[in-house]
Amino acid sequence: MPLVYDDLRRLAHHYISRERPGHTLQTTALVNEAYLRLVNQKNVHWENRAQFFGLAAKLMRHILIDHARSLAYAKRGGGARKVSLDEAAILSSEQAADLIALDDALEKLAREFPRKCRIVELRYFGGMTVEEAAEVLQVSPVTVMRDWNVAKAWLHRELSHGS
Amino acid sequence: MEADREQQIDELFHAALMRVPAERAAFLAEAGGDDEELRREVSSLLTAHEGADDFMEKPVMEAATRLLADNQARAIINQQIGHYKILKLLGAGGMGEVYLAEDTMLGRRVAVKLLPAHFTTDSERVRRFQREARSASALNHPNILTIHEIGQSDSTHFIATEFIDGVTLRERMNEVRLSLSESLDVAIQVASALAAAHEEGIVHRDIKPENIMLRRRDRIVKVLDFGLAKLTEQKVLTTDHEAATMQQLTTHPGVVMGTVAYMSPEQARGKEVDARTDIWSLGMVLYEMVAGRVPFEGAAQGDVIASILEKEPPPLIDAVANYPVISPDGKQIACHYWDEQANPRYGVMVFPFEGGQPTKRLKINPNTYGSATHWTPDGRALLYIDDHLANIWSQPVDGGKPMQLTNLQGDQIFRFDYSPDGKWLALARGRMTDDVILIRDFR
Repeated sequence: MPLVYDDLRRLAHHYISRERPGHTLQTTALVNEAYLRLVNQKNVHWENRAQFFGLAAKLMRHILIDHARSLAYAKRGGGARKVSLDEAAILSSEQAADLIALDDALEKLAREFPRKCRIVELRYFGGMTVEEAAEVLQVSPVTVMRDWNVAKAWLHRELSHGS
Repeated sequence: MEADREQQIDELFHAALMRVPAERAAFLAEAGGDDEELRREVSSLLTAHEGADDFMEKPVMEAATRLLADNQARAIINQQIGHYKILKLLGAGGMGEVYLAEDTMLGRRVAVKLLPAHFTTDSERVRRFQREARSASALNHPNILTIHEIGQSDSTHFIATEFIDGVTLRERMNEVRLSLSESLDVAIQVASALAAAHEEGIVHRDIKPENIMLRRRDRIVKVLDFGLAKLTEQKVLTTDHEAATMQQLTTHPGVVMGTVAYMSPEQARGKEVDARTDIWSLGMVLYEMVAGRVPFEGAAQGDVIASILEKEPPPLIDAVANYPVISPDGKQIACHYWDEQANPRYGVMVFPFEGGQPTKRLKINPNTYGSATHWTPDGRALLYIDDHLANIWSQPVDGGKPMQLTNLQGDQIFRFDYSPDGKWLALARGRMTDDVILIRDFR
């Protein structure tokens, strides 16, 4: 995991610094490139792309939620961690709160429908298309779509009735 | 939850979805059978679905990526590498990131390039790099980026060089269409740098627009990464599908594809290179500055290399677009030309529609070659874009002085047109723009 993180981190940086105004970030290209670079390294064995993408999506979720939680924590006055201007621009406190709620709901979803949770992770946090997610999970794209529909509804319901 | 249960919910949910909302309750009551819990579950899911229009529609990956990038930069900013204090990121290339730093001993700004970890785990490569850097640092020429120091801080290898406040030639070419005089100016300075290096027996090996910088304040050219190209030796010809995948995602300049286009035939063949390789690559760069495209192109690396090895570059005169235009009365054609034998040697020529010798040769600045020319509705003058691509001029076909029609500042003009009634001029400014400016002709 640390190896992946380092490379992803460096690549993200690479992409951001080359970004031109008005161009949307091609984040799946980022993950693609990370995969290729890792595969070229001798000491890392990735059985398949799918495994890697799954991991990358998980990582993205982890990073984002981690950040959201620490933002919320800081806001409540806990800890002396200062939020830099850049960080503040990434997530507003409202977005952070929403993400935390979503994360909690996802944990619940995982207990009932683990595959649906994975799909949300891959698509929402990993930015994958239906086809890409289908490849990672080794199911048909139709299954991915159907799972996605139900998962979305489930999460929306959970968040609307949330505590 | 058991797989069966999940499947039941899925099926019932989607079957109900196929019905119009008004009919869903009824459908559920019927199809759900005795299982009230199932019916209730699916029913509430359907309600939630109906209200979830743009819920989770946009993936948050962009935010996550920014976070990742941010973490990386923040890890290094304000840290010290050797006696250099890192200030901010300037850019990133195939060989690591370049940061603006302060030399804490001399109190001056420098550029510090940090080499990526996976390039320096190979000790043989590191040794080679140090040897190359040493000889490159012996070069002292106004057009060669000065190397101040190479070193190591913990496991990070770095190169400290002079800091250039400017843009790479690639960035400049993305912004504007270079005029002929600017193209030549850049090429001459690069050639000068190469001459100095070649005299010391040093070959650059990777001359390309990404490795040429233009200093903002005086437009002095600096050639970067002398002697460092060896560190990033990559296999050029690969047949596995991974390489094919890489080609798909290189929309960013400077990665893989760009390097291949400037390669000399001997480089492409993996043979020994010498000074002539640099001259070839410079030729490619010069061609691209003038024509707006590289001479050898292809859909994949392999195609580009095949072109380099087998084909002749298309003559510049064909590579630069030339727009012939027919006069309003349909009797004449005007187009740009460049002919060593003619007088004047370059300009716009006017010849009869049926063919035959040109009736007129108008000397118009060669920098406008390849840009559009238009006839005025009365057929008496030609409109063209001036030397700096900044304004529209009018040149009477029968001779006489050219006249400036517009008085614009700012973005360059690449396309324009003139209305048939002669009252309006429409201009497209900038290289990639959706804006059109309409000007009332004030003649």
